[in-house]
Formats: sequence, structure tokens, C-alpha cells
Amino acid sequence: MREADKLLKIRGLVKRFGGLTATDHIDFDVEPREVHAVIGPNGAGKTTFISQISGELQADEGSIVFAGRELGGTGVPYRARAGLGRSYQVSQIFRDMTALQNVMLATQATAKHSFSFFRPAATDQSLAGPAREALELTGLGHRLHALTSDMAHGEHRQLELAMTLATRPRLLLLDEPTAGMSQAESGDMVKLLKRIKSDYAVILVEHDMDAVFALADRVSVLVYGCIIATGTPDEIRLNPAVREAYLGDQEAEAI
Amino acid sequence: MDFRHPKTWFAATLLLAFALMPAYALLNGQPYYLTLFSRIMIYALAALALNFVLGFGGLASLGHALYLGIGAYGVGILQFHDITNGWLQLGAALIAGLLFATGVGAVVVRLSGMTFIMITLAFAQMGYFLAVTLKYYGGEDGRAIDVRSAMGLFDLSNNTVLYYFIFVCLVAALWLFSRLIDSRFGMVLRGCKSNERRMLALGFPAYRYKLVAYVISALACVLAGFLLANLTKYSSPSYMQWTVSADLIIMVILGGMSTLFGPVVGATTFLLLEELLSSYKPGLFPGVEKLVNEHWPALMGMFVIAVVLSSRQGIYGYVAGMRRR
Amino acid sequence: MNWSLFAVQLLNSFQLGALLFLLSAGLTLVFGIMNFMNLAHGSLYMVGAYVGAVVAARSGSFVLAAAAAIAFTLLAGVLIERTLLRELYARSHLDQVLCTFGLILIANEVVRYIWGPFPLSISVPEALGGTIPLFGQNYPSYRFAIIVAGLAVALGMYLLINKTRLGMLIRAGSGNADMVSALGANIKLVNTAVFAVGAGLAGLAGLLVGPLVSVQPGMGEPILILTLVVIIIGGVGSVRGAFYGALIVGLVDTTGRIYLQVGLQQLFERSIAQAIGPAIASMLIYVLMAVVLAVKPQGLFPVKNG
Repeated sequence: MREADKLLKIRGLVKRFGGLTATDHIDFDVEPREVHAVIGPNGAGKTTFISQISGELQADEGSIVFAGRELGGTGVPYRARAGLGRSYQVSQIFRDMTALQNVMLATQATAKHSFSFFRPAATDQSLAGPAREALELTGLGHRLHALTSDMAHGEHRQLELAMTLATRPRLLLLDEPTAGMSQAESGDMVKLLKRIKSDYAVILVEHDMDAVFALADRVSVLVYGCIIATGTPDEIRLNPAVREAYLGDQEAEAI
Repeated sequence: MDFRHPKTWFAATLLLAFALMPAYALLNGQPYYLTLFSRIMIYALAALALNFVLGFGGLASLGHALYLGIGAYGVGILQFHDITNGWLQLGAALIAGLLFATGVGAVVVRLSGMTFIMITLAFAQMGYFLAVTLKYYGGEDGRAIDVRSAMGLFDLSNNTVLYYFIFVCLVAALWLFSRLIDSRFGMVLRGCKSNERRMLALGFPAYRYKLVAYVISALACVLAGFLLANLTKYSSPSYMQWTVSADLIIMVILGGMSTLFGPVVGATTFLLLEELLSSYKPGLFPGVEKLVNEHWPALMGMFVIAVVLSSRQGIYGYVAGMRRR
Repeated sequence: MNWSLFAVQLLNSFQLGALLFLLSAGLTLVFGIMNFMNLAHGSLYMVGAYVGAVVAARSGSFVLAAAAAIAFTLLAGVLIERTLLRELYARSHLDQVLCTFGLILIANEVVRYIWGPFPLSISVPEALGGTIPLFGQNYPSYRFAIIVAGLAVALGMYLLINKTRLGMLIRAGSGNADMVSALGANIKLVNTAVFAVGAGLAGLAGLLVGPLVSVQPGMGEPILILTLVVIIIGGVGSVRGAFYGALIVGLVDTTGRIYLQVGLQQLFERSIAQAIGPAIASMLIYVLMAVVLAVKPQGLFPVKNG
């Protein structure tokens, strides 16, 4: 694939916190229909990396080019509207609303603006329709009117994903989508992601190796802010530097 | 409106009471009730305005009294220059309010938490001092307003007409805010209160929406100030004291912060309590009575602390949380 | 340019700055460490003034009055902190603001009940009753003493924060309560100590200002607002910020006021300048605050966090 065709191109990304270099000159690509997973031991800087792509952190050096546009200096809403959809490790949902209301807000975000003052949003089918679809897709079709405070953790993760999908992004930034889920729930999430992945470019940050091997086209390994290896899942599994980095970690068993 | 829910009946009853108050006052020969309840409705309107950004937007503005003052001075200043047309006065006040709110809002809405509270407080004080130093328009003592605003058909110099004018404004505001809260705009505001990080990640430029909400809220407060000046026939910097802003927040919390009608209940309760403490003489123990009447703010202070420490949903919030019949 | 007028105004600015520093140092620390906004800080200032006035009148000794004012407000601070305020630390800032607002109402009425609504007065201590020659002017010794007191407290705060264990805990804990317990200190004790120091300083400020203003109910609120502006400009939680913020606000509000009036009179006709001058002057600090917020929202001298 030519350089120009890559959906996301990151070159020389650096982020420092005081004396600590959390992101150390990272180069990273994502192609339009691929799942590029990012794995690494705890504290490697995965969330910092993702946050610089989504815009919650501004990089100190380097460039991030998305669909030909340089994202450096832009804020989170700009990047979201450009087609970046992030889901969070700790579900960022609206606690005092129903599942449907949550996703309807996400759908509403795709409109040009929300300066509509008189028509009620709740009965707006142009919002409710796509929201229902997103919820059904992620397996919450039967929980439309449940308050999030009445929902289980696993359902929150499904809702989290539904909201991200409802904004119709081109690139999904999934930060540990199976975090805190049971074996069964994780399996369902992976099945779901497998079904939909061909519609998106995905950056998948994960600790769950089953998920990574089931979904990823490419895997990059992040250790102490540097990418020490990039390749197919099988290549990574056999890479000695990677094994060494994981030695002692429970991931080593999984690999 | 959900007629099966107790909350609708609660609200309707209170509004009906307001509607019938003039008749009650007349029958009992107590014209003072008209003034008292006019005042209550005006503060209810201001509290309603504040609740839009506080209860639904999560913006704790300790400076909303600034806009009460702008409304009041709209009457006072123009009247000083012999402009008694109420529509012009209101129009001027609204424009001034728009400018102030946009200016203050632009600075303030970016901030959150304690800084937000402190800045809104400081800006309101700025308005207060500005009014105090305008010796031309009365300075610290303010100015009496000779005539109530001429509003065409409505003869505001008649206390009862003024009362119903205020009542209509309150009901109109209730209607307006109920539409706003349920609209797309309202949902964005509520989302920002609930989880602003998520709103940004979804692609909403939260700042823009919060600013507009702040301005709308300010303008409703300006209207309340306009009505207040007409009621008291006075425009004074004291309307802009930060203590007034604090009172408004208490009214909102007391009534129920994330409900539409809560502020009305809160304002009624708060002001009736104030009235009771400061002038009621049930004839029990003369010494205690005098103490209460003279030092009632201390009791209000204790009341405020009690409300804050105990409050979960507020009075109307509690009713709204009940199961429907 | 009238240099002697300028010198006097400069000194007055420092005097106001000194008072503001005494008040804002305590308030900003309490906010930085405990994340708690105490609006009743102005009431502690008022109580200090009242206690000082009463003791000074009874004993004739200003020093005794000062000691009493500080001791009383310190103890009052400890009492309030241990009973009511502890409940509020976990609550939202709005709840804290409203509760301490309730305290202000109560405090004003208590004071009004005990001493009535009319102002009390404190006389300037005899030793400081004269003037002191500074910059070719005879400047009131008492006002100069306030400046000295402010500097002394600033030095004391510097030593406290940088050279003592409590100070280390304060620096570590600023904005990070867990850090304090992680360092093995009793956080409740640290909180009470910090609050007490702030209260004592407020009481001292109240006493010091007594001879210059009327000691009356409600005297705390106007200065409270100024203190908030100082903290915002200086940077919340930063004592250094409180120092420089107080200096800046003192300068702008005193010297700025005078020279704005002078400047306006050069530009406009006298009557216009006299009408709008005071209005703009009183807004100066708030405009400054707004500008600082727009450019550097964390304040000019924010707490440095690793």
C-alpha cells in the first residue's frame, strides 16, 4: 500500500511528562480496512499513545496525518467529526440516561449542529432509528429503555461501543473493549468486532491475547514508549524481543 | 405533560394557587400578599433561569444576580432619561444583558469547578461596583423609579395587572424552558453535565453550546430583573449582591435541581420561610420572637446548611421521583 | 509627575497588598491542600477585628489584642474545621460554597447580636501613632508597620513551607491528598493545622486593619471578594501566587485607581472623568483577572506539580 493511501500516518511522535518520555519517537500506520492492534506490558504508554491520536493529549513532537489532514494542534471534537471514534477503557457513558438516550446523543453528534431549540429530541426518529440499530448491533436491542445505572458492567462496555459506532467513524480507537468482561462476554465482543471490522479501520489496544489474535491483521508491540516490533500476529508471537519484553508477564503464557 | 404523575398535579396546584392569589388577597384585605407573591414569582423566574445552566448544564454560576441588576437598571436608567416605554426599557436591558453574558460567558464557560464559581462571583461583584460608582444613577443607594414601565395595553401601575403580567412571564418561561430541555440543544447541555469528556469525544464542541445556554439563562434573568424593578419601583446595586446569587442557588437546590418545576417550589419555600422568620409574630415567647425577627438571617444560614447537607433531590425532586398513580 | 504622591500611593499599595496576602495565603493553602473553598474566611477576618477591638478597649494593649485575635480565630478555626467542615471535604465545591455562605450569615448575626449593628473602633497603638519619613514623605507609621508585618509573615510562610516537615507535607499534598497519607502523616491533623494557620492569619489581618476601617458586621465580604481575585490571579493553591497576586492587586487597586483618574482627566473634560473614572477604576481588578484567565487560566504563579 502506498504511503498516500494509508488512512492514519504517524511519524516521530513524542510525548514527555517532566523527565519521563512516555512516547518515544513512534512511527505508526493504519490502512483503511485493517485492524492494527497495539499490545504491551502495563505502563508501556498505550493509553497515552491513544490519547494523542484522539486529541485529549497534544504531542510534543511528530505528526499525525488522518485522511490527508494534519491533526496536530486540533482538539478532540474536531478529530471526532473528522472520523475518529474512540471508545474508552473505563466506559464513558451518560449515567443518568437510558441506553437509547445515550446512543441518540451519539447519533445527534453527526448532525451539522444541534442548535435546535423547540422540537423534542426524544421522539425524533432520525435520531432514534440509527440509535436503535447501533444498540441492536451490539446486543442491547432488548435494553433500549434501561437506565445505565441499572445495567451491568458488560452491558456498559456494549453501550460504550454502540455509542462509538453511532458516530459513523472511519477509524475506531478501541481502548481495551473487553476490559472487565467475563470469558463469555469477551467472546461475544470479539465475535461482534469480527463482524463489523471490515467496515472500519481499527486501532485495537488490548491485553486479551485471544481477542488480538482473532481480530488483528497487524500487531505492534509498545514497550516503554517505543514500538519494538510490528508484524502479523504470528510473526509477533515468535519474535524473541517481544517474548523477552513479556517475560514474567501473564501475557507470555498467552503468547 | 404526564397527568398520571403526582408531580404534574403538584405543579398545577401551585400554579393555580398563584393564579388565584389576587382574589384571596382581596377577600382577606391583605394587599401585601400581592406584593409578596409577585416577588416570589419573580425570583421563581430567576431561579428557573439559573437552573437551566446549573441543574441541566452543570454550570454553578454564583453571579446570576448580575443579570437581575441589568434588568432592573434597564428600567432605572432609561426612566431617568424620561424613557418610560417598557418595551424599550426591556429591549435595552436585554441587549445589555446579551453583551454582558456573551462577554462574561466567553471567559467563564471554558472553566469548571471552583474556578468557575469564583469567576462568576467576581464578575457579579464587578457589576455591583460598577453600579455603585455610577453616582449619576443613584450610586450605592440606588434610585427610586417614579412610574412603572408603560407596556401599552398593560397598565403596570395597577398592582393586580402587574401580578398577572409576572404570572404570564413565569408560565411562558416554564413553557420555553421545558421545550429547551427536551430539544436537541437541551440534550447536548445535559450530556455536557453528565459527561463532558464523552461529549467532546462524540464530536460536540461543548464550549459553544454551554455559552449559548449561559446567554439564554442570563436573558431570562434580565426579564426577572425588569419585573423586579417594576414591582419595587426601585433600582439598586443590592439586587446584584452575590448573596442574591447564592440565594438563587439555594432555591434551585431546595426545589430540586434537575427538574423543570423545582426552582418554582424552591423559590416559594425559601421566600415564604424568610417572610415567616422576619415578620411572623405567633405570640409565643416575646423574647424569642424578637430575636428571630431581628436575627433571622442566622436562621436562614442554618437552614441553608441543613438543605445542602441533607439535600438529595429537593422537595419537587422528591415528588417527581415518586411512582405514578 | 508628582513623585511624592506616587511614593505615597506605592506604599499604600504595599499596605493593601500586605493585608491581602495575609488573607489569601491561608485561603489558597486550604484550597490547594484540602480542595475546599471557605467563603467564611472573611468572617474569620471580621471576628479577629472584633476580638481585637474588645481586648484593645479593655486592656489598652494593642499587642495583647493582636495575640487575642490570633489565638481566638485559630481556635475558632480548629473548632469549625473539626465539626462542620470535615463533612464538606468530600462534597462538591458548590456545596462547600453554599455551606460556608450559611456560616457567613450566622457569623454576621452573632456579631450583630453581641455588639450591635454600629461599628466599633480600635485606636492606633501609641507607639505607631506618628509618621515615618520614607521617600521624602511622612508616611503613617502604622501603615508601614502593616507592610512590615506582611513581609514578616511572607518570610515565615516561606520558611514554613520550604524548611519544615509540615511545609513538605503541604508541598507534596497540594492538590493530592493521598500523597500526604502515603508519606505517613495524619492527614486530618495536617488539614486542621493548615486551616488553623489560615484562620489565624485572617484574624491577624482583621486586627491589623481595625484602626483603619470600621469594625462592623459584614466587613468580611468585600475583602473576601478581593481575596478571591488575588488567588485567581496568583494561582489557586500557591502561596507564592498569593504573594505576587496580592502585590499586583494592591498596586492596581490603589495606584491604578489614582493614575487612571489622572489619565482620564488629561483626556476628557473634568466632569466626564469624574463620572466614569471611579466606575472604570473599580472594574480594573476584574478586567485584570479576566485577562489573566484568558491568557493563563491556572494563574500567573501556579503550583509547580512534578
